[in-house]
Formats: sequence, structure tokens, C-alpha cells
Amino acid sequence: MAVTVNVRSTGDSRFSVTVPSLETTIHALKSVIHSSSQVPEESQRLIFKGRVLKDEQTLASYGFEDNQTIHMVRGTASRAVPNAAAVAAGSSVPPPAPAPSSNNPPPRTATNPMANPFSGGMPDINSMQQQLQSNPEMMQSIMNSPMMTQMMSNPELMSSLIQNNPQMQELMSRNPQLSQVLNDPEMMRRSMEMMRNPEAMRQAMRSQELAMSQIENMPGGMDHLRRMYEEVQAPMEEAMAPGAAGGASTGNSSTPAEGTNLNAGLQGTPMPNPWGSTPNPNSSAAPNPAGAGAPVNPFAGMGGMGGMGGLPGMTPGTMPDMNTLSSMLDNPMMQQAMQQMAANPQMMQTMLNSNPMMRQMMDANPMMRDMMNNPAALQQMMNPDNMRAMLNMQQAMGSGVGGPGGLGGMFPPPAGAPPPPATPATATINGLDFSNLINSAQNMNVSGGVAPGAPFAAAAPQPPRERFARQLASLNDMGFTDEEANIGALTATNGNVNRAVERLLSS
Amino acid sequence: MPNNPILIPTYSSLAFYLAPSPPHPVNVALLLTLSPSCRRINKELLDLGRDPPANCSAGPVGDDLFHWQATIMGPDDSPYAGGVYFLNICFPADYPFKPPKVSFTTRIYHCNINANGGICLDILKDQWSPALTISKVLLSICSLLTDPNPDDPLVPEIATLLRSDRAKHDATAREWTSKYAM
Repeated sequence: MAVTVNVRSTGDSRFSVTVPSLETTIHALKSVIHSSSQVPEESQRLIFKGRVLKDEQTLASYGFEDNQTIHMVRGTASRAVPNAAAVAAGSSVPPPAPAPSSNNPPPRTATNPMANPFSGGMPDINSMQQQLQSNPEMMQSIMNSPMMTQMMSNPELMSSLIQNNPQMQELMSRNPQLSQVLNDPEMMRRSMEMMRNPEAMRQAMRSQELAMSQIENMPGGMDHLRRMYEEVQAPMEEAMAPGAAGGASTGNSSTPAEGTNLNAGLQGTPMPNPWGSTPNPNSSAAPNPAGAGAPVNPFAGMGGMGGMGGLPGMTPGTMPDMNTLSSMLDNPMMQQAMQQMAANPQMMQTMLNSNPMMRQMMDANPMMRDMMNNPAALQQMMNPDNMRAMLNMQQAMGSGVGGPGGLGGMFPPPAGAPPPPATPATATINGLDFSNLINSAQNMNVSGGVAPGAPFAAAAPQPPRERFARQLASLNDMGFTDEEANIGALTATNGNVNRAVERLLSS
Repeated sequence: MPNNPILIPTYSSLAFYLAPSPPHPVNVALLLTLSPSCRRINKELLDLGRDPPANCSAGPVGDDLFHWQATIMGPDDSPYAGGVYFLNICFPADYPFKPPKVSFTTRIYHCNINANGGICLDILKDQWSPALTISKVLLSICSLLTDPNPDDPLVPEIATLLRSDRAKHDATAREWTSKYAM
């Protein structure tokens, strides 16, 4: 049975050829086309359904049917495989950390500058990291590269990288919280995802710096930050410093460069770390107080933690100082930062999941987990008024010091609700009142559920033409112009456009 | 064979089903079993196979009707002439009420298309209408290749060069075309 193939080439010329069957190979088709169009076989590029047809395949294998149309493009040479140039460009070894210019962005294919440091021959990992940080797009392309993806999807590899470093290990044994964070593959993955998105990353850096400078301005905040720096960041930095010479290789003891590194850190130089996501001082437009020591929150290294980084770290230590906290809450900049965080449930989630204590609490209280998964509830909690009310309450109950009690403070009751002493049976896990929370959650659900349904209920008496005006417009847009039929279908389907379309098509 | 009273309405309604598009009875029958978005996408696929637009071609990647690939042949009156550009199309589940996601997989030097293949085109965003089809979207992208829009750029550097030195811009675009799209 003969098959007609319509060929359409650029410049609006079209013609038809006939081949014996659908089992004809593309090569044979090309020779037929050659005889009727004079275009040499090797410069024909045939395209069907978005695909370039390969010589050895048959028409049937591309789902071609009789009388359908194929596009033909005249190629210059015999390069049958498109994109060959792109692939070749991508696989050639790029210079270490190429400075991308606007005219020549890094190839999107398998380019992987990160491959170099792991082979050990990388001369200057620090400068590369800095370059990376100042160029989020580049970071993104690295993060998206297959090797990186593979690495990220392998949590064991990541943690072995970390644990192979003896200093890092010691640090972790001193700081169980830190080790938990570093060993949590989920957290790692989230951070990586964050880094893939330049916008989100920039945002995180900004809010991070904002939060840091806010904390520093609080009385006592600076001390806390210093403590944090001394306990966590400096050792971590030390631990990572040898990485500049030999990646995560074992056997590196303390280095002679230790002292200089420390000083450099005090002046706000980004801490070198394997994920390369420390804040870049060059980009800090945020109001960093002048003078030495804008210590970098170690959690900032995790990228994803962003602005919240400062808070969870702070909670266990400085909770006793209620005045400090409440004055912090009054600060408009802080409020802004909180709003930003509240508007980003993903980030909240990451932050919460990465805090071991928080997680323990969530595991113990499934209800709490539900709450945390509800962005609306989170937003309500972040309301400064609520936070303050909660703080007062906690102070009154005298349980606000340290540990889970302090963290419990993160979960305030709805605004203005005083602690109900009349219901001691349901209340008082870590000083918070679940019944109230549940009520408010229910209220939220109820109002959310009613809202979409309400218009229909209220609008019932209207004639269908008005009642379904919006749906009628949609149907009209889709090419169903018979208004009577549309109204009939919409009435029968109670305004469901999809079902109405189904009905119209089948009638 | 005597007339079976039950057969008659069945047959007539079947004929009615098939009447609107006689050349593809099988596909129409298939369409009736699918969800509205599937049906709509299938219809577009049929139309594309029958009468594709001049410079574009598109079809499903595999069995998944919601994931297509497409090619656009660089328009003759543009620096992209001779190039074949590949695109990825993802239909949302509520297509045609939401726009399809379309992106280039072939690199292209164009002020409205970025290095990730993202396309800055109003009808793919807020100006989407359910009356639009993939065929029309691809044609719009074709016309975007012929007439870049430097007033709403995705890559500002290219837009600046386009405004200040069109010849240089076109030369770079041609170079990228022969490098990546031929």
C-alpha cells in the first residue's frame, strides 16, 4: 500500500512524494525526496512531530500516518546529529572557574568545574568559591550538573566527606547539634535545592545578614554571637582550612596558617566550606555594623537556613532574656524579616526540620507537625503580637528557661488569647495550649472550606446565563459558540466547565 | 436480517458521533474515552499532523501525552535561518485553562530567551487564553525570533547590544546558530 508523504521545506515550498509502505526507512525516503527536489540526501534534515528523523529508522517507528506532513530543512554538512556542537563544547574541559561574560555564558550541558577539585589538582579552591558566590547562575549550573546531582542524592558520600576530616569530626562530637545538621541528608538536599535557585539564595543571604545585624544590635546579642563563633564557627573554619590544599583528604592536622585564618574570619571573610555558600561580604548591602567581627553564623554555611539561621541557634541560649527578645520583636526590621520568613513556608519547614530539638518535639506531637505544615498557621504564629503574648505567658508560668520549654515558646496561642487556667487537663505541654490552637485551626479550615462554595449557594436564584457568565466566557474562548447548548451543559453539570466540555463534545 | 429495534438507535447515535470528523473515526472514538485536557491535546496533535505550521513541528516525547518536544526552524529573514531549535513542552493537568510550559533545549542568542531556555513571551504567562493552541504558541515564538522584543528582555545585555549595534548582534546570533543549531 503506497503512502503519501507531504514534505514542507522552508520558504513555503511544499510537495508530495510516495513511498511503498510505512516500513520504508528514512534513508530510502530521503533518496525519493532527492529525486523530486534535487536536495542532496546528506543535506536533508527531516523533522516530524518535533523530532529529527534518523536514517536507519522507519516512518512507522515515528508514528507517521498516510498523508501527514514532514518538514525538511537544508543542512550545510552531513551532520546528522543536531546539537553535536553543543555537546562537544560542553564536554571539553573548561578552565577552572571560568569567569562568565554575558556573551559567553557557561555551557548548559555537562560542564562540571567541580570535577577538578576532587581530582586533587585544583590550585585555588578559595578563589573559586568566591567567584562562585558572586555568580549565582554559575553556582546553579554547577549544582545542576549530573555529577553534583549524583553526589547530592548520595547522603552517605556527603557524610563520609565530612567525617573523613578529623577536625570536623572532633567538632561534631563536641557539638551534637551541629553533627545532626550535617548528617541530615534531607537538610542537605534542601540546602542544595536552595542553592540551585539563584533568586532564593540571594534572598536567603539578604535576610540572613539582616537578621545577623539585628541580633548584633540587641544588648547581649553580640555576646551570644561571639560565643557561637568561638564554639562553632572558628573550629569549623579551622577544620575546613586544610581543604584548600587537599579537599577532604584525611590526616591533616592543624596548619600553620591557623592564626591568619582566624583573623581573616574576624574581619568577615567568608568561611571556606565544602558547599561554598557562605555569605559574600562584597554583596553585603545590608546594614552591617562597622568595625571588626561581623561573625558569620555557621548555619549560614548551609545556605538554605537563611534568615532563620540566627533564631534557632539563639533560642536555647538566650531565651531567659525575655526583654531582649521582646524588644527585638518590636524592631520593624526584625518584623520585616519575620514576615519574609513566614511568607516562605518551605524555608520555615527546612529550618524546623533541621533543628534537632524541634524535630524531636514534632515527632512526639503529631499535632504539632500538622500545625507546622500549615502555612497559614505558621504565619499566624509569626505575628509579633502573638509572639509577645506567648513570651509574657511563658514568663508568667516561669518555665521559659532553656531546653524544650524555650522552644515551646515558638508556638503561641492565637492573638490575645490569655492562658486559660480553667482547662489544665488539655493544656500545658511545654506551656502551650493545644485546645486553643486546634480551635483556631478548625476555624481556619471552616472558613477556607466555605468560601469557595458560598457564591454558588448565594447565587442560586439567578438565571443560568448570569450565574455561569464566567464559565460561559471560558467555553466561548474554547470555541464553543452555541450559547444555548453551553448554558444547557453548564446547568446540567452545575457550572463545572470541564464536565460541560465533555458533555458538549459528546452530544 | 430483521430490523432489531435496539440496534437502530445505537447505530444512529454512533454515526452521529463519527459525523463531525470522518477522516479519523478511530481517533475520535479514542478521544471520547479521555479526560478533557487529554482530548484537547489529542486534537491539537491531530491538527498538527494534518496541517503543521510552516516552521514548526511538535509531538509527544513518548507515551505521555502531556510531555512534548517541538522543533522550530529558524525563520529565513532572521539571523537564526538554517538553524533547527528544539523545545520542550509540558502541558499542565488543567490545560487549556493554564498555559503550557515551553522552553528551548537548544542554545540560542536572543534577548527574550535565557541560557536555561526560558522564554519571555506574554502569551505563555498572563496573556494566555484557552483559545490558543500549541501551534499558535510555536508560531508566536517564530515571530519572536524574527522580531526580538528588547523592551521586555530576559537577557538585558543582548537587548542592549541589539539596540546599539544590530549588525554585531546579528553576527553573534548567526555564530551561535551555526555552533549550536546546525
